[in-house]
Amino acid sequence: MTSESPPKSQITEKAAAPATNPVAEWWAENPMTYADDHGLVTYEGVQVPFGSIEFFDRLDRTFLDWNKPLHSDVPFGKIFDYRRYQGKKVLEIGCGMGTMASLWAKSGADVTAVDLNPVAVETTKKRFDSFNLTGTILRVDGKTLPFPDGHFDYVYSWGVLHHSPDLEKSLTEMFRVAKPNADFGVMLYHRKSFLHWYMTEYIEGFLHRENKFLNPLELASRYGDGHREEGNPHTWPITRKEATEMFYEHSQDVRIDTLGTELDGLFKLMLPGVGMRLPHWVKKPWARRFGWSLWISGHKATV
Amino acid sequence: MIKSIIGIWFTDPPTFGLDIQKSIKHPVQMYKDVVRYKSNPRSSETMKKMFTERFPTGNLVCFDLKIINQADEVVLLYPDAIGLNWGETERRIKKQALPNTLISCLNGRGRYFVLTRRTQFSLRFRRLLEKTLITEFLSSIAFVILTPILLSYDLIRRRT
Repeated sequence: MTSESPPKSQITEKAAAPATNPVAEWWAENPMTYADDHGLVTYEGVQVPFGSIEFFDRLDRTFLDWNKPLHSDVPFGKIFDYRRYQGKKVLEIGCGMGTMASLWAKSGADVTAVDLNPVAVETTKKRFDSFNLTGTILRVDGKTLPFPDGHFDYVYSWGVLHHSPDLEKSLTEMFRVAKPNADFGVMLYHRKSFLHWYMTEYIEGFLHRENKFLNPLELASRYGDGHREEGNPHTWPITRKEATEMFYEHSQDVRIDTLGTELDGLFKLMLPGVGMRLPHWVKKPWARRFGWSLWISGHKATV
Repeated sequence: MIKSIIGIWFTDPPTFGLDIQKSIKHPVQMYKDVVRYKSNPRSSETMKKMFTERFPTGNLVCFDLKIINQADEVVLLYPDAIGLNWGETERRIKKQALPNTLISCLNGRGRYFVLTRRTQFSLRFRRLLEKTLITEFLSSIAFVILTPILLSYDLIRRRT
């Protein structure tokens, strides 16, 4: 392992094809590395080469650590039924650096991972090669999936579709390629969450007067992912009510769980000295109501 | 038009990540880290570049208040959004500037606005909230009161 890693500009030069829209361009330059900041390859001050085994190890450890409450004896075991889909077709929309796709591949699923971001596609391919995993990894726009109707046994997307300016179209496509009665799971950011209220609406919108210059969508985008720099082109968190309405067209047994895995970090800022010492059972009733993520799951309607 | 700018005044370097003192044995440092993290200030290089792009004919100075009375406009370069710790500087500038001098701000978020009396009051109020953490303190009281209620409700509903 060397201490050198390519600067951000070199990361985008490695992409197979140029990004075609501002959302893809931004994520190509600022991939979600789960590092000290977007697009960086520094983890708690330690820099690692982008795309190396150590990079994947550090990224995965951080990502899994952020989502501890969702694990059982396997990562994300409380929301993903890996055994049920061994040998079956699983689709991930927005694979990012490939952590979740690799978990499915390791569990024996026939995984297809797609992303609009060319850096994500290339990095996931590299991960699969590095760890001898098999899967199909494609650079695809989620609004026009190149798969036949009813192709996949399980479809999911984690923290991606709220960055799409046309969320409903992306969802329609996702459900199109899922088999009738197939399970699905989508994680979207939650607008009625402590994180959004406190960091975006109160701190930046009110305290820092950004609501005088930005409308609600611009504010959510500017102070969503990448907020320490200049934000990202599009982030629109949704509410539980909006999720119910949006998904009802495709599934009549939609279940929405609120996930508050970010509350530890938030309470550290809100209640310095005290927040990080609050026991889990004190934070839980708040997390399940006002967490930053909505996990929307169910079955695709049969008709 | 000659534009004179109060130069960048920047006491702490920006940090990436949640670089906050964790030990309650150092409460002052913890408090400073939290306020700094939330204010998210830009570097002096970033502010200089921002100023130069917006005011190509402007003149950058670093805290040289003597030349203020030569300027048509004085632009304060807040590294953060609301100019934390700039209150005293603003008072001195207003005292020294000519009556016709426009005093404006360009902040670390790239926003430009004129420093009217109303805006100045608004900024002072917000600086007070940001530094004293009054909102967070009041939220903590609500948190302490409401948590047992929510826990009881969840227990009754068997949501554990």
